[in-house]
Amino acid sequence: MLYSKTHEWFDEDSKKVGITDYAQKSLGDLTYIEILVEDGDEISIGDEIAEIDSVKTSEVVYSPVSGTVCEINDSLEDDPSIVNSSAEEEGWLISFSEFDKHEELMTNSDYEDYKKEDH
Amino acid sequence: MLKRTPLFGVQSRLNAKFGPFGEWEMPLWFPEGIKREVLAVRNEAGIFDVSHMGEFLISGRKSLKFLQNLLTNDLSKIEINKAQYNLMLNDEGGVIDDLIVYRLGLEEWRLVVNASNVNIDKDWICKNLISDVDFRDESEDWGLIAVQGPKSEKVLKSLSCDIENLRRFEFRKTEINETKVEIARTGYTGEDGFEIFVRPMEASVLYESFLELGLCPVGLGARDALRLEVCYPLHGHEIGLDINPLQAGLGWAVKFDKGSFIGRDSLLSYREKDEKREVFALFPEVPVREGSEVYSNKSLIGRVTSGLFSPTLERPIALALLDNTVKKNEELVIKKGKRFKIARLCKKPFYRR
Repeated sequence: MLYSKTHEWFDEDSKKVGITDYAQKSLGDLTYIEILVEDGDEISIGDEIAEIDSVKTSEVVYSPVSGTVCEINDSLEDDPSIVNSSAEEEGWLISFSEFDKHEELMTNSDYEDYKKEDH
Repeated sequence: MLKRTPLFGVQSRLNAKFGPFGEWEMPLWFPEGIKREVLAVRNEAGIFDVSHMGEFLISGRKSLKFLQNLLTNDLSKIEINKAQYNLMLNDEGGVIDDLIVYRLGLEEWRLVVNASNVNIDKDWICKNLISDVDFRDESEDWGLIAVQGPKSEKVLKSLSCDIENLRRFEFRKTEINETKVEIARTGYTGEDGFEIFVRPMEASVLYESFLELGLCPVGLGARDALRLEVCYPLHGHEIGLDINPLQAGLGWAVKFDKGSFIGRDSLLSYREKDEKREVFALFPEVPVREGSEVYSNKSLIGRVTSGLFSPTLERPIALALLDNTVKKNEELVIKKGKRFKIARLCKKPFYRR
């Protein structure tokens, strides 16, 4: 699993993207998730892929990789709390059919250090 | 360094998520989350740390005269041991702060003001102070705990607190488990509830006695959701220097017939204007936030002042300051990021107990 500075994760095997457990915790109860892309879309690193609302705030999720969207996680629209309970598994946002890896993504241990710097 | 209330220790042991609120480090939510906290207050009872709020003591022979000029409501109408909602305006009719005034005695009053406005309020009050009136900032002398929700009365009685016949907006000096408190039947949630003034040293023991009875600790996130569901204004959102009380729907707290007061002339001339703005309640299709632009037929008619996902109604709600030419069933459009979302006006409040 790889991580971005804006607290998204990317799994090279499943080609899925989501927000990290750390991001989920700092947002609190999620109330609404809107996926802003569709399957087949070509997207680039840094494109907005979703908007996530907690009771108090709205956050935009940016794509950590470039590629072609394969699938979006429809179940989040009905139950955004899936991201609260399982941000890095069941709570994935979109998956890719093809992707270009982004060199700036961090490994798990780098991300652990990055979080400690309190970003 | 942010200021901490006397309840910081007990709330951090409860693993509260803290955040900055003005000069204060305050709990935003507790591990069970904002939704659970809101529903606990609606269905049972919750406890809030509101010790960050400011308390001022105003006293003296001319204190009533002074407050009648400083504030918008008619203070001659409140009896000793009763409270009243008030607004403090500048000369232009803008709201410096909203506050609750408690009449402690014939010539003694406590003003409870918003935490982030304590210094601004203090300056304004001292600037307008007249002889034979004393002002004292007692903010450091009080902890303040709110107990809110339908079970509040039962909870207080079980701690042998004498609240017999204490009606809404009434105030009493009494004891809870032998701790001296001053208790008022007031709140910011739309539920039955109490606000309890206690000496800072004794605040955490009192807070813990409520926890032991199973009350849900509540943070500022849920407090904001609770007040928005019942359409109570929040200073800096629905009221402020640029939003007057008439626009905010608070005309009921402005008594033009009591005589002169600061801001009166400006409000009277606003009342005569044709083009007015008003705070409206909206159901947007998705959550929208403060500052978002609201359009009617492609023209900008105002902005969202507060918005969130209501845990009680289970849908997004918002308040917005709009041109009052907006029509009841009109389809409005709100700009969210780069996209446009649909919203409809609805009746205030969103929720009523």
